[in-house]
Amino acid sequence: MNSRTTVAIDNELRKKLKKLSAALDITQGEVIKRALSVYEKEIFKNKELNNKEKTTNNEKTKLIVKEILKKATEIIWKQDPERKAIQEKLSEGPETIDDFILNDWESGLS
Amino acid sequence: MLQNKDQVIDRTKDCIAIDSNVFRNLDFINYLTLKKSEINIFLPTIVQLEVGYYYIGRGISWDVFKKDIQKFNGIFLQWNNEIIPEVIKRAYYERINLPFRHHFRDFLIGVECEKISINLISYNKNHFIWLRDLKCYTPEEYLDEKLSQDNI
Repeated sequence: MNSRTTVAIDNELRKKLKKLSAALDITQGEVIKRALSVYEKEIFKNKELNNKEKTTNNEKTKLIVKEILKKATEIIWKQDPERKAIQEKLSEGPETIDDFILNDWESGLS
Repeated sequence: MLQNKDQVIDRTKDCIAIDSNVFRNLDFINYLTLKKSEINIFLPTIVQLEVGYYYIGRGISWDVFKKDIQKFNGIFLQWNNEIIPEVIKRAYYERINLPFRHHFRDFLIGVECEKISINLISYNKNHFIWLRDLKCYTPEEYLDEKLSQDNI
């Protein structure tokens, strides 16, 4: 269902609207409808591309960070066998530091 | 290694405190060791206690633990009774979302960081949302930020 609305446009735009309406033999409202439809598609397409690009960049950064951290351990373990032995001990068994202590923290007041 | 009350912090370097759960990521501890000339790394009191206990539980003595922390020039924050009223106040304000029973450690850590204005690295960022003037990062976020700064 059509409804009326008022928008202010400059002369140049009004002329374009009239010209397109006449050339396509459609109402000015239809011109606006079609133009908006094209514009809407373009905007969402760009947004989607940007989001995809952002996701790819985030994933790339995550991989770089992971790689730097892994490399740090390689270097330190090579330089410092004592540190390596300690960290291997810390990594023994299924428990992480969280399992070992942090998850059990309570005030002791029951 | 110990942070004395009157000791001046070298602010020309990046200053961070680490939470105990950061020790879940030993790669990050190694990264900090490699970057020790660029970063001042602080261990809040309760972190010393928790991680020291964790080391002991794995058969590693307190002395070896201290030596291991020294490898990244880790600074043990010294317990200061003056922070207690602030810890209590913060814990009471946040009691609904962060009950004291489970989160008193977080308030101790956070207030210690606030006292010397240093950002915190933790995997439990949600436990520190009450820290208004400090940033809390996960180890990965911190590294990500460092990388962005290096690229500028």
